[in-house]
Amino acid sequence: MNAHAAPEAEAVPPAGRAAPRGAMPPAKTPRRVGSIAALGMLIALVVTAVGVLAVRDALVYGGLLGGTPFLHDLAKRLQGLRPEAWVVVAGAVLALVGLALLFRALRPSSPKVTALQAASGVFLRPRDVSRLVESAAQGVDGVLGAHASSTPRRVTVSVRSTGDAGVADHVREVVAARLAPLKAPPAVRVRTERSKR
Amino acid sequence: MTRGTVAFDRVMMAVVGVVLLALGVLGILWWAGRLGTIPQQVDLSGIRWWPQQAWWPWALGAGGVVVALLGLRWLLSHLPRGAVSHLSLPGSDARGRLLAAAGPVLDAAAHALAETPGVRSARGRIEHDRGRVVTRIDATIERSADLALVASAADAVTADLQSALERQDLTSRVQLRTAGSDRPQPRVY
Repeated sequence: MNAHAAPEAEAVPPAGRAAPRGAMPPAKTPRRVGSIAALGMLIALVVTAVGVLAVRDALVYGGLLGGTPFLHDLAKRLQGLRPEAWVVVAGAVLALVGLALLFRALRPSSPKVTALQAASGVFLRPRDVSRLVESAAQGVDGVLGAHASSTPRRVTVSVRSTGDAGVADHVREVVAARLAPLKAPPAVRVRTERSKR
Repeated sequence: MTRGTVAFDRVMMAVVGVVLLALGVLGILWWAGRLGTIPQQVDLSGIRWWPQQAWWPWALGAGGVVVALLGLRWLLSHLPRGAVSHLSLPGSDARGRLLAAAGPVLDAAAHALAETPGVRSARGRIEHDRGRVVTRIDATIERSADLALVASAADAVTADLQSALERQDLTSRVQLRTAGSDRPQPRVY
């Protein structure tokens, strides 16, 4: 043991377990940036396309390429345009799309995963939490089948049961115990459905 | 994809959002006749002389090339970045660099984690994430795995990695996946 390997102040190990010597600090929690990346790529694609069309028109104007410039067609359509009903509809649609883009751009991304109590970053996806919960619920007496859906904050378990009293409470206890090692255990909701015999 | 790319995406989304919003609102105000001195008919005759100028194709072409290249550069920044193949270790100086091949080191760590009861398999690699070097291990666990046991095994494995690589700037991410179905376990009667 050297002093070098002492854990840093912020990497406090969770209570109830021995502190591992010099465990690596966790990486940043993965976040949902998929939609931002997708929209960013879409805008980048549009920008690239506009550039390519401008080059194409430049070649047409320069006489190096046959055809009519797109800008010419565009100008012809715009010339003499008056505000009509469709301008209102288009304006409303544009404004709504713009507002949605603005909100998405400014909203912080939510975490994509749930963290386990660990000094190093150990993560489970919601889908994995669902599978763990399903297996745990299926092991409860009186449960014939279970299906779970999860978000980082909430787990909903639907169980088909034999109809015994207290199955839901028992499932809730078992699932909560199963998820106890999570850093922020999600709220557990149990729906029961009596199996038709 | 880097932190910079995501930030740039956000900024550009906000800019495009504001522009679309402004266009939409202006369009509605135009229709309502609330734009004051703005004429109620589009008239482009003021710029009709542009395409007749000798500089027009050059300006349009140059602008187009710049815009297309910027767009392409932005598009390509979304490509997934490859894993880090080598890590430089303490002891590197002007006489030489001390490198560790990331693959075998992470494979060994992943293999150690896979020895834990309840862990079916594991693979490791080193990558960059938002400005940090991350040792990433992807592990598949059984549905019946003891999560606390897996977590403490992950702590032990990353601690070993830390002391093996002697780099204080590493961070760790152990991404667990739950197996679709439990592998048949040995039975005890």
